[in-house]
Amino acid sequence: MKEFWQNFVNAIFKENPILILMLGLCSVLAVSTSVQNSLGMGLAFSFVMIFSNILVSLLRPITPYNIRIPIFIIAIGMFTTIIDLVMSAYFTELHKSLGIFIPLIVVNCMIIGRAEAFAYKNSVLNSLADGLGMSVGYLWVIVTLGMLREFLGSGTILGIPILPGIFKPTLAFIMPPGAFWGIGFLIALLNWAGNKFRR
Amino acid sequence: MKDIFTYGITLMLICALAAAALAFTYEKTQKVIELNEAREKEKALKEILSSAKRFVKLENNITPKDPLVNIQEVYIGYDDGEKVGSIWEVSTKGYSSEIKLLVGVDKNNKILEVRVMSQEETPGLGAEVTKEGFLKQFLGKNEPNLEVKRNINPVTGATISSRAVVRAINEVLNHTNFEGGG
Repeated sequence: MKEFWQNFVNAIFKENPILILMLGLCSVLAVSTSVQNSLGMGLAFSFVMIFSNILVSLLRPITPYNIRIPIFIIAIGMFTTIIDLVMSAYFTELHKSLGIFIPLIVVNCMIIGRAEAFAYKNSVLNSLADGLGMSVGYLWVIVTLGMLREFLGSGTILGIPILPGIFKPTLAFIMPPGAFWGIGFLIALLNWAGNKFRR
Repeated sequence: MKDIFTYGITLMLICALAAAALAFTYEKTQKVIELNEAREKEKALKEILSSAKRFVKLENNITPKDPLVNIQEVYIGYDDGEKVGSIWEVSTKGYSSEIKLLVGVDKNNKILEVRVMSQEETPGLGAEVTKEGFLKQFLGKNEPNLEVKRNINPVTGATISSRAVVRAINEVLNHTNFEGGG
């Protein structure tokens, strides 16, 4: 159980998928224009991450080393298609605004990276912990970035206006440059906190 | 040689598992997805042409005069057997994406409403063509002589996106006037 906990916490900060490993940045930068989009993307990502980690770990005994990559891809592709169909059926609006980025989870290097680097070498329970931790790590970064950009770019959070009349939003923040500024800022912040914490 | 069989059978097993899971999800979600789409479209049609009680989709395709515009579907609205107007689903090439519009035309061939269904133009510039202020300029127009800067004010900084919308509306008016589509 201690190991489970350690793997979980490790994945949130020390091996944060976005800010430290810097994998799968593309969807984070593109989708985080609002908190709602960020949450939707984060949850879809979490679903695929957790279940593909579990399945890859479960299939370990029958997965020959030479064909492990096709097997990972089938597992990841399956869960991505499932979440894509479910979202388009029950969360039509959200699915529309996320567009191409849901099917693109299939090539998110983070998910295949964790399948290869962790789930293929560890037990189901530890893989679950890693999947959960990675998901929380992804979620907090993408939602923070979404909040930052939505507030600075359109003056709202979750569509609710914040400080109307006082704060004038800057459009650049919901355009691509804003994503890079935001992520740079978060990386710097985590590095600073990491240095301070270690000392 | 032996390896090839093991690999093949393992992959086949896993693919079969994935196929079963996908078939199950598809079966469960497909009806909901189709229902959602049909409902959304019907809602839009009703809102645009509120006097129509039922809509009939035009079966034969209309070839557009302007090669940059695509006429996807045409619905004729009826109220007790009487034509009250038509709704045109058209798409056109904008600045960075395909702009999809629903254009409602009343029985006098006047534009009733223009609604942007989907677009991926530049936020803050081209995407402003979805705003009321730009689209209301088309209301009541009935001749395909619209032109940016002559009788339509384009969105500032987005002449190409504005032109694309104008092009699509002209195309619709071309057909309602001369082929009796409305």
